[in-house]
Amino acid sequence: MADLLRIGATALSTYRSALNAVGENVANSQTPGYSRRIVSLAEVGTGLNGARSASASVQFNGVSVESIQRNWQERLARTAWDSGSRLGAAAVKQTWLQAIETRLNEESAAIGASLSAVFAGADRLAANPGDRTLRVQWLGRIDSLTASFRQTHAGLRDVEQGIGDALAYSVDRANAALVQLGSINSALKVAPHGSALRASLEDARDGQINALTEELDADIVLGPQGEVSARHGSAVMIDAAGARTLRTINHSDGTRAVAAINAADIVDITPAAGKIAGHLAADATAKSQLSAINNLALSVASRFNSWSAAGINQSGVSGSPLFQGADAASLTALITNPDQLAFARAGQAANANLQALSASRGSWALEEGWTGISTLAASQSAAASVEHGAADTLHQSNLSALDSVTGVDLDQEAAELLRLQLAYNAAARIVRVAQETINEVIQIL
Amino acid sequence: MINGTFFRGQQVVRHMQRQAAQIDRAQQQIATTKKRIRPSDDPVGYAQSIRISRRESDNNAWGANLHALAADGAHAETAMISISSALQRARELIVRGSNDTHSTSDRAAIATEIESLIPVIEDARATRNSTGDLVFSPLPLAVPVGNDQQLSATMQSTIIFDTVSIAAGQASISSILRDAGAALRTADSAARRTLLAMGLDQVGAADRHVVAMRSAQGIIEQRIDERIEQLAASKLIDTEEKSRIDGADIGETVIQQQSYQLAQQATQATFARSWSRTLFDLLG
Repeated sequence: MADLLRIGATALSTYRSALNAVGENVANSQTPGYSRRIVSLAEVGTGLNGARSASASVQFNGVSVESIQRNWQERLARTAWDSGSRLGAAAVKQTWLQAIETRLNEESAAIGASLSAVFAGADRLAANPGDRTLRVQWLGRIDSLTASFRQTHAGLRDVEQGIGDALAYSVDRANAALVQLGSINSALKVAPHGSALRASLEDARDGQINALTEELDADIVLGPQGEVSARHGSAVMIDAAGARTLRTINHSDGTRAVAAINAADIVDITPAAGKIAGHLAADATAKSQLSAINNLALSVASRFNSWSAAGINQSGVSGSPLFQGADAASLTALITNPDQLAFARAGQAANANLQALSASRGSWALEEGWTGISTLAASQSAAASVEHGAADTLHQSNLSALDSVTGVDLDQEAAELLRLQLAYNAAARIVRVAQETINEVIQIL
Repeated sequence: MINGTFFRGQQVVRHMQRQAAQIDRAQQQIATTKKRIRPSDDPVGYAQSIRISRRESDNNAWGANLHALAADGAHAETAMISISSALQRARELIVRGSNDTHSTSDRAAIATEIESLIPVIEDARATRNSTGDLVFSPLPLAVPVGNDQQLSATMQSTIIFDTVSIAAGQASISSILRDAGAALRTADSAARRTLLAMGLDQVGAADRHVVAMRSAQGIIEQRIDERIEQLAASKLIDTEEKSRIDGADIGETVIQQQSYQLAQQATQATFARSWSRTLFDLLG
C-alpha cells in the first residue's frame, strides 16, 4: 500500500506542476514574446531522472515531470528576427521619407509657386515696367521666394535633426539589448536544462534578440547553452567575452555612421536592415535633398543677380544684385527700393531686361529644378511605403508562423486544464484508496 | 474561438486600424474633394499638377497683360479716329479755301482752322493710358503674352505720325497740315492754287496712311483678342486636366467609404463575438 500511496503522491505532484504550467500559459497568454510551456511527463525509473528503478517485477514507481520546455522553433524565430529587421528599416525609412516629402510638398514649401509668381510678375511688369505698385508687388514676391527657401531649409534641417536623435535612441536601445543579453548569457550557463527558469531565460533572450535585430541586422548564433553571440560583418557585438558598445559616429562631412567599440578597437558597421539602417538611409536622403535645395537657392541667386546686372534701373545705373546668401537658409533679398529694379537695357525698350528674363526662364530651368526635387521626394516616399507594406506583410506572415507554435490558445489551455484536472483528481483518488486500504488493514490488526 | 492567440488578437486589431485609416482617408478625400492626400499617392500626377499650377500663374499674368494691351489698343483706335476726322475736316477746308472768291481774311481764317487741327494730331500722339504711359511710343513695349510670344498694343508712333508717303518723300501729318495752312496764306493766286492742289494730295495721302494704320491697328487688336480667347481655352483645359489629376470622384469615394465602414463593422462584430467567449466560460 505504501507503493500505491507513493505512486499517487508522485502523480499528484506531477499533475500539480502540469496544472501550474497551464496556469502560467493562461497568465501569460497576452504577454508579448511568451512561448507556450509544455510539460513532458515520464514514468519514474524509465526516464532520464531514473533515481528509482524497478527492483521487482511487481513494483511500480509512478510519474514525474521530465522537463518544462518552450514550444518554440529556432528556424521560425530566426525568420521572424530577419523579417523584423527588414521591417524596422522599412518602417523608419517610410516615416522619415514621409517627413521629407511633407517638407518638400509644394503646398507647404511653395518654392515652385513663389518662383512662378516671380516670373509671372516679371511678365506682368513687362506690360508696364514703370508701374510702382507692380514693382513693389514684385519685390514682395522676391521676398516670399527667399522666405520659402528659408522655411523649406529649416524644415529639412528639423527632419535631419530628428533622424539624428532617433538614430541615437536606436543605438541606445541596441546597447541596452546587448547589455541584457550579456546578463542572460551568464544566467543561461547555470540554468538547469528542462527547468522553468531556463524557459523564462530563453523567452527573455529571444525578446532581447528581437529588440537588437529590430535595430540592427545582426548575425545571431545560439550556443550549446542557449547563449547568444552576435556580430555584424567583422564587428563583434556580443560573444563569450561580453557585450560591446555601439556608438554613433558623426563624420566631419556631416554624414553619420555606427561603429562597434571594443576598447581601442573601433569597427564601422554598415547595416543593411534594422531601424539603424533605415535612419542612416533616411539621413543620407535628407542631406541629399538639403544639398539640392541649397544648390537651387544658389542658382536662383546667381541667375537673377547676373540678370539684374545686365539691366539698368530707372536712374540709368546698372542693376545691383537681387539676392545674397551662401545657401537656402541665408538667402535674402537685397533690393528694397522699387526704383532700383533694373528692368530696362541701355538704348532699348523700357522692358528689355524683363523680356530677357522671360526668354531665359526656360533655359534656367529653376522651376523644373524644384519640381524635380519635390517629385523625387514624393517618389522616394511612395517607394518607401511600398517597401514598408511588403516588409510588413512578410513579417506578419513570419510572426504568424512562429505564433502557430509559440502562441497560447485559451481554448487549448482550457482543454488541457480539463484533462490534467481529471488526471489530478484520479491521482487524489488513488491516494485516498491507498489511505482507506491502509486504515482497513490497521483496523484488522 | 479559433486559434485565439495574443498575436491573432493583435492581427484583428491591426486589420481594424487599417480599415479605420481607409475610412479616414476617404473622409479626407470627400472633405477636400482631392483624391491625392499626399504627393506620394501619385508622384507623376503631383508633378503634372505643379506644372499646371505654373501655367495657371503664367496665364493669369499673360491674361492681365492682354487686357492692358486691349485697353491701350482701344485708346489707340479712338485717337486714330480723331486723326481721321481731323484730316477729313482739313480736306474740306482746303477744298473750300481753293475757291478764289474768298477774301484774304477768309482764307486766313480757314488757314487758322486747318492749323488748329495740328494740336488734335499732337494730342492724339500724346494719348496716355490709365497708368499714365504713352499709348503711341517710339519704342512700343513688346509685352509677354505666352511662351516666347510677345505683342505690342500699337505700332511705333513715328510710323503712324511721321511717315506719310508724299511726292517729295515722307512727311509727318502735322507738317502736312502746317504746309496746307501756309498754302492758304499764299498771296499769289496761281502759286496758291498749285500749293493747295499739292496740299490736298498730301492730306489725302495722310488720310489714306491713317486708314492703313487703323487697319494695321485692327489686326493687332484682332491678334490680342485671339490670344485672349486662346488663353481662356487654355485655362479651361488646365482646369479640366487638374480636376482629372487631383479631383476625387465624390460618388465613387462615398461608396468606397461605405464599403470600408461595412467591412469595419463586420470585422468588429465578428471579433466581438468570437473573442467574447472561450472554453473557460463553459467550465463554470
